[in-house]
Amino acid sequence: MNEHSFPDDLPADEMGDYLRLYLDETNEQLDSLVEIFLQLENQAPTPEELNEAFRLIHSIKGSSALLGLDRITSLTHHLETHFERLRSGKQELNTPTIDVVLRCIDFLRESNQHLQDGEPLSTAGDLLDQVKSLGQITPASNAPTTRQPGHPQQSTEHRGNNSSAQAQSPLHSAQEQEESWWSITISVEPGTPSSAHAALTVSQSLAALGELMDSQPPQASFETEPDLTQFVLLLKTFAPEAEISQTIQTNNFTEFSVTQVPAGIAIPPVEPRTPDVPVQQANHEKDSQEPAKTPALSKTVRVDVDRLDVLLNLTGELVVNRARLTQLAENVAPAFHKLGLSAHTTNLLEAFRKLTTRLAGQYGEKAHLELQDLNEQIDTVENQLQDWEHNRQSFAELSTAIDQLTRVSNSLQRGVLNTRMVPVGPLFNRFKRSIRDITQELGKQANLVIEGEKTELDKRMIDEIGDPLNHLIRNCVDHGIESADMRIQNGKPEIATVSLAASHRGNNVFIIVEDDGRGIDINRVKQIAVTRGLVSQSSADQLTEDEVAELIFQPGFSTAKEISDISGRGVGMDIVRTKIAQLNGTVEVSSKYGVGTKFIIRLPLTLTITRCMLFRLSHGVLAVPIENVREIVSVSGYKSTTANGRQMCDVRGEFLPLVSIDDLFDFHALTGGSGKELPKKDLNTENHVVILHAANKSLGLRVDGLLGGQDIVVKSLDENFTHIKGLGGASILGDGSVCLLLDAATCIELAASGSDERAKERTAE
Amino acid sequence: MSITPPTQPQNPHPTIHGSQSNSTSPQFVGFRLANQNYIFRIESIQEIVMPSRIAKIPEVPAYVDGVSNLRGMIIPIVNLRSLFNLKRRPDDDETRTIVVNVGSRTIGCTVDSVLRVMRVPAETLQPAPDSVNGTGRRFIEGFTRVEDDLFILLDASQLLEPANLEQVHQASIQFEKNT
Repeated sequence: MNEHSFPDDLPADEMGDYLRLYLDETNEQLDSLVEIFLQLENQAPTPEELNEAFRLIHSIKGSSALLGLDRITSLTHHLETHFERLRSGKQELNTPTIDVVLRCIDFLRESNQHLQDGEPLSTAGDLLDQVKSLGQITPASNAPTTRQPGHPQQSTEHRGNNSSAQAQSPLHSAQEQEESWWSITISVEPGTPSSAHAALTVSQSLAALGELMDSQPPQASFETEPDLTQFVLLLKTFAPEAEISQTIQTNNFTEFSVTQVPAGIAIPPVEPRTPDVPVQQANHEKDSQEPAKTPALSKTVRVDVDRLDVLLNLTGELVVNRARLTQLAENVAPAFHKLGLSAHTTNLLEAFRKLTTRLAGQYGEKAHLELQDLNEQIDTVENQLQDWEHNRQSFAELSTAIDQLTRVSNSLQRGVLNTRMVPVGPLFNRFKRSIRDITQELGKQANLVIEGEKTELDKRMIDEIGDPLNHLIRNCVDHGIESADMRIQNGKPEIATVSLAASHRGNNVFIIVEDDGRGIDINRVKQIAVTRGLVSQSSADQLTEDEVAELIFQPGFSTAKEISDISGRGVGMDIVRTKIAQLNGTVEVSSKYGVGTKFIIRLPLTLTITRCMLFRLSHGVLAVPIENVREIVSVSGYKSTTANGRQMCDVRGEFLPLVSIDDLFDFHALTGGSGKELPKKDLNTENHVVILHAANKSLGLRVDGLLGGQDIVVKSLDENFTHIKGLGGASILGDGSVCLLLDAATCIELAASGSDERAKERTAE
Repeated sequence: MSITPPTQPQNPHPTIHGSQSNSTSPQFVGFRLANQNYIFRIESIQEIVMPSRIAKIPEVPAYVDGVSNLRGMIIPIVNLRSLFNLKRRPDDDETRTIVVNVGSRTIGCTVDSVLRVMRVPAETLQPAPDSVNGTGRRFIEGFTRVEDDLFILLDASQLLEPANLEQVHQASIQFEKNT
């Protein structure tokens, strides 16, 4: 079989469109299929579920056939055949079947990936044989050799330039030499000219191979049939299947199926829309698919996420520009708002006018010219004053216009954000499968409970969060959940529960992964962290339970004794945290030994726009994501103390490390652009301290002033330059200047490591 | 692209007009840095802008002034005087920022003044003399003489590649020590 060669009559780019549509569609269908199967595994199949599974497989088969993806078509075709048996109750669904089906789904997913990457498809090989053999191993079905009329089991289908993989059906050779009965279904492309004539010709050609037993509709009525879309012929012949196929193909029919049937059978009347007759599936799928697709298309539009990204960025720019406009208007406003100015000037001019009239009366001709000149000037000023008054009114309108713009741009921003929001449900459901695989592999038992699957999250975020979540879940099962015996001993239910819950709070989405396993063994974690050199013994002893649990996120930490396929490469939790941090999110762990472990992931609703607090520093403006600002306090000098080489501040009895921005970063204050030395801040004066909070740790940072909250569009610094440790990016403010975005978690680390170094220096002295 | 008017009186010599009329000659943008003339190939330059407000960024070498807002894009600004280990000077009316495309990045560099766009016939370009050491050779493509002025042709995208900046700076310090 050649790899996905597309029909020649379609232009390549059009094919690309179809392919994309196919990939989107089948990926969703595969997701649904997995879900059905995981349900079927636990409970007796209901006819609805089997029907739904059948429909999904059938639909994938149809779409793949349309694109000429022969390998996928043939696999799904056999799956479909098998499902037909399950659905009609001829066979029962059992675990081996489910395993094979799940493997088929894996193969289909893989194929989709290949298609997406433009790679050739791999062969289904032994998987295809396994699917084929499914029908034979199960005793519930009749032996494949005995065929029941009306339910042909070995059906072979050919499409286009398709070759003959299916021709190797196991029973084929045995019956090659006998005179067999074949039911041949041929489809006529709608709108083909002189279809009746072509149908007659092919019938005659086939009749030449043997004896034509029956025809539906009757050959005589081919001409009169109003729309001849398909016809069925019953042929008795010695000729092998391949020859029949060839005969049909030489007559320019590309869509047909040839099925061996028991001798003496009559053709059932043609009912193109009855799905029970597999012979007709090839044709009815085309009919049934189009109407099914149309209503869905009218409701949704598939858009490339990149396009939405561009749109979102533009909206962000708009919001920033709007803010700038507002600021400019505010700057100008005081000049226009002085109502008194206009009245005052009018009065002044009036007084002048009176004066000139009086003077004209007193001095008469002598000063006439000068006074006239003065009067003219007063007139000019008066005119200008009127203009000014007019402009003032326009300005009032400008403010209204800006208000309107604000409303529109805010709605636009919300709207654009909404287009990117998708529910987490499909992502979560995928993990049902992972749980099944891992538990089987490890011989443990666990159920996955999903909550809040309707919670919406940015599409990009959904795409990125899959891997970290998968890792967390695998970790829960591998490290967290005890064996069934141990669970019973500890008085827990035999089957463990892993829960995956999403919820929406403020501008954040929280995803909580929780298990009821053994929890984190604090002492073991400490011990390992010390042996791996992640912390010193002395500092490990001082750590609180939560701080110890945090250690599992350190690079190079792994508690697994052996490296397994599932977890324990010692990179897992570190990668999880990094990945989530890249999404501007955080992950925290809390655990109770013997009761369970809980991972709390906090994600912003969207990637690009962040709500921040802005602070003024001697170096410029600094933004801190609002969720990292615990509080802002005023700390006067006497309240800050020095302990162990670290400056600390006392916030309601809690001692927190206190730093200034220059302790965290080297800004080249002495050699920088301005070249002038910054005045040393007087520690004794009252100053603002913003308490940064991330990953259960807090840090006080001195700031020079508070500028309030603002939505900012975060831009990366690495894009045009390099990454700077401790900075999460930069943003453009309303006045066009650039502000830096602080990465609170890294800053807290920097502060800790910085003070360690200083403490070392101190001891060295 | 906003090119500032030439700050030096345009040379009336017919020779230069002769070379300019040769439309096949490559085009260069000339600029000055502490009494020395340099040229960049015009293809490597995105635009030339007036210096705008710069936000300082930490943890970068002193020759990186900070970042600036170029129509919504945040670009780093490298001070070429500082990079070449020359004395810094405050910005004046003639100070310009040349915006250069370095691979997929966009980076601005501050120069004393931008002279003009000029055509230089390829054959008049001379390779860097042997006295230019190994590191320098990577960034200095060659020399050319227009009238009596010597222009040093710099490879803008190599010079401003973030990974190369420190090398350039070190080479400048080394060069100063040697001379």
